[in-house]
Amino acid sequence: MTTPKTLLEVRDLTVEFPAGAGRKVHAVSGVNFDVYQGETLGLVGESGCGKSTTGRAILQLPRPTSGSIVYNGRELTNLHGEELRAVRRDLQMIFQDPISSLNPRRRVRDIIGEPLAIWNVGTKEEREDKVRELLDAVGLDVAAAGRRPHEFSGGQCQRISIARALALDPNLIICDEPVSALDVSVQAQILNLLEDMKERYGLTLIFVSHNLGVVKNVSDRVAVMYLGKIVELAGAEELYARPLHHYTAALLDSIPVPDPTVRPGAAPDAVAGDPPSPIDPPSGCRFRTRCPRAEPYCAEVEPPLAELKPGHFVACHFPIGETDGA
Amino acid sequence: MLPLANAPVPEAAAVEASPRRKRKLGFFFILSLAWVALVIFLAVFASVLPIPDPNAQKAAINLNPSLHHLLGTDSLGRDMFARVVYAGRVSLTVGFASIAIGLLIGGAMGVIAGFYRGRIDRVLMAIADVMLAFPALVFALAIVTFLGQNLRNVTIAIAVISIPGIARIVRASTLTFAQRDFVLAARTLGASNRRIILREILPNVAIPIGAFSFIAVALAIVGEGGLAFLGLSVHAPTATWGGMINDGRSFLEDHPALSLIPSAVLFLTVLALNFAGDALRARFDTKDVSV
Amino acid sequence: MTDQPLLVVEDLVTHFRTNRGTVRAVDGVSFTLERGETLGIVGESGSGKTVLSRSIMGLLPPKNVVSEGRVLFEGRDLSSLDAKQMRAVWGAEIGMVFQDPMTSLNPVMKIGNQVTEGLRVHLGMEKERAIETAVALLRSVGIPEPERRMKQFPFELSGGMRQRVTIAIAIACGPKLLIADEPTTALDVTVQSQILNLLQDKQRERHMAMILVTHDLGVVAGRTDDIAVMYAGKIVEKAPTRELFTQMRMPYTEALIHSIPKTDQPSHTRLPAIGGRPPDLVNPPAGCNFSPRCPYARDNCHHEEPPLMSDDTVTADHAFACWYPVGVPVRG
Repeated sequence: MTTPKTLLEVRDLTVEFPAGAGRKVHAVSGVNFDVYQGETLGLVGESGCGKSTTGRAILQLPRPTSGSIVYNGRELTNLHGEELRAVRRDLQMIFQDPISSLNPRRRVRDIIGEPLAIWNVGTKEEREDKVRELLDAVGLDVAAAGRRPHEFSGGQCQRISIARALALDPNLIICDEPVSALDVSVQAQILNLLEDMKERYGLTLIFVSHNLGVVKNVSDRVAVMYLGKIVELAGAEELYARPLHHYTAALLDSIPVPDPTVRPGAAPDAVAGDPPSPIDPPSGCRFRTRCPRAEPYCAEVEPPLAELKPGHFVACHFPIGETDGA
Repeated sequence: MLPLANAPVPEAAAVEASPRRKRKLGFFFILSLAWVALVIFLAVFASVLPIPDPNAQKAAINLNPSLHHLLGTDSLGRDMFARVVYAGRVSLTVGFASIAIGLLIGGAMGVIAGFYRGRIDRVLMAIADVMLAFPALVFALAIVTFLGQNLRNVTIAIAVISIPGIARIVRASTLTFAQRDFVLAARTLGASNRRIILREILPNVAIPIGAFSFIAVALAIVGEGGLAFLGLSVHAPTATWGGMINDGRSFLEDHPALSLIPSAVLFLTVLALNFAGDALRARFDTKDVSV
Repeated sequence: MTDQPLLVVEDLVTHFRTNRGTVRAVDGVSFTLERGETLGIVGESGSGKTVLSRSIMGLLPPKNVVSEGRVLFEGRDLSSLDAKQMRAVWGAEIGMVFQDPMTSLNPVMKIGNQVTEGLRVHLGMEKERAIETAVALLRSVGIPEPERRMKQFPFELSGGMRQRVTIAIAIACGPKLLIADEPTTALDVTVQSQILNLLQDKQRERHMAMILVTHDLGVVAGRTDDIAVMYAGKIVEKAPTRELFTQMRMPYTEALIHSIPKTDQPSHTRLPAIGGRPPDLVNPPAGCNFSPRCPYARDNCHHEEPPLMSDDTVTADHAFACWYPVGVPVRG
């Protein structure tokens, strides 16, 4: 097997926002990961863990506070103006809220054709053909072209968003909670569609979601984030079957399983309390305040993200299943 | 195991006709528009319609309504109906023109401030605050006194007064749309700021602001009426509603109609504009929310 | 006291008159809830589950609403009570927990006052005793340092803590029935499981009956005695929880259960999706509401509406509204 080509390298990515009174929200704090050509990388975590910000910072929206993002050999954080605009053709995004992400005043034809119009791709007729092709690809009737977003259901709006993101034949698409606003039955349609589009257009996906079941379904590898850090990264099967980080294990324990034979709360309140504020994150390991295995050492030294098994990275001093070795 | 797995997706493909019916704007909206249309029509075509000269004086003063003088005559024997119609020219011109100027300048300020935020926002809004803080009447007085009492200067005075309010409202509206994901989506597609403002923001901001501008025109007409009442609007003998109310003041006891007729026309016009604006706004608000 | 069921809902209908026509949000729902029993009501958005729970509580605005049917709480018809009588029921006999704790708590009132309010109004407690009881309550719902929290405002608490407070308020007066409408939808998954465990503990401890309304089958799977599945304003299947998952009869239930991505499936498993979208409640389809999306639908499904029925392949508590139930060979 040939080693997969690295499409995107994220190094020491840090994003901070001012929180007033001179304080800062540490949204993303030194995140490292690679994305390989053709794979789907899942980014999973609870609200405020920085998964969405990480996804957006790759597109320089917002610009990272520090760190480096290399796409196809080009450093994106140094790019400005026209150069940055040009790179954006390759990197697209699909948003959570199907209603907010479509301009209510424009017709579907103009929404999907907008990227082509921005870049002056082809003639007017060629653009119209492309819009028709895209509508067909995402499973919408050509008659949809003349309508406005409010005439569609949430799932259909998400199809329109996907068609728009595909218009410029991008390489990498960042999906920011693309199915979180949808009902389960519609969610399944959109997940299947994303898989089809990935296949058909040879896409690489970064899939951001809080839903562990959804992430497992679409991802080849999964990174778990907590309070602005990646705490664990591994192949999807490996991560779900043999989590090494206590937080990953707690997350997996907390999922409501649609199976009545599974007694919920088998590990009652394995993680107690709520996540701390990203304005004032705990010292050392950020999970230690809720971790069942935490020791004083965890407050002093921050555990690095280390490759414990081939392809399985974890940031923990006392990973699950390891005999105390620290 | 499940036949559902391979079931076609029938409905995702077929977009059914929207079952939404347009919200009716109602009887009063039509009535309001009809009134405003009538006032505009009379004002525009006053000179070609069989309406007497509003400034022609006759010996018959303070006449009651008759077939010859539909609303009677005033204290100088001028035809009241003709004066009310011609006064509409001044009021409507000032009302619409001043708000058009206000929308152009205030609207640009608001969109730029709301879209770019940061320093430019702070500077523009500081300017708007200073303008708001300055007493409007004193300002209008100053303009009219120094530049002269004519239609153009009254329009400019009211336009300048309207700018900060319009800028604030447009900015607020821009802010709500600038934070929507479709603006972010346009950015990720590589759209320039100019394109985002023109294609994504303006069409959305235009609708609530369009509805609001009806109310702004009404306010401007009231403002002109106030200035005229104080004798600060166009020179006599040009008729204005405010001026007519003022003229009739001395005869309130014996001939209240002299003040009441222009008051009623002013009142109805302002009310109609407000009503139409509110109805439009309510309609487009729900449309946006129910998306 | 008596052996009549705690709650009987009979042919409940809630229609909204709108500009577009009549929205048939709840369209003839009947069920019975015994004391201490837990019922999960599951449905997608627009299925009428929230309107149903609010109709039971009598919490809908009277304007432009058509209500029919009866809600018998311990034999009393709630729909015949006036506003004052209802206030004596709310909080005291039926407690409620809503989706968004930030909107169900009063933002400008201290936590302490909000918890003691019901105790003083419904139970007539003195101030001192109400405060003591409230502190004990907050502690029992897992709020650390309850004395300090009593003096705080809702915005000073995290989402999970706020939901704990609303649960404390809901159970303060010892209601016989707790209605929880999407109580964990706004919360993170680790907090969600804490809150669900808490609700379950309190329900058992106090032998309350509970109605858990949710869109997530996973939330109700291990936590309720029975589940009712709603679709387009109607209950389309109701069964003991275990049986619903193993012997579902309604194709919609089957589709709903199978379209959830599960963590024990391998990655890139193709999900069985339900095509289309839920019907327009102003113009529901003829016959079975689910027939336009149903892979098993036959001719008569599009004309005849199936009633909620049972047969000899399922237990007596299991009812479904389908002419051609899944897992049953077609007869005739």
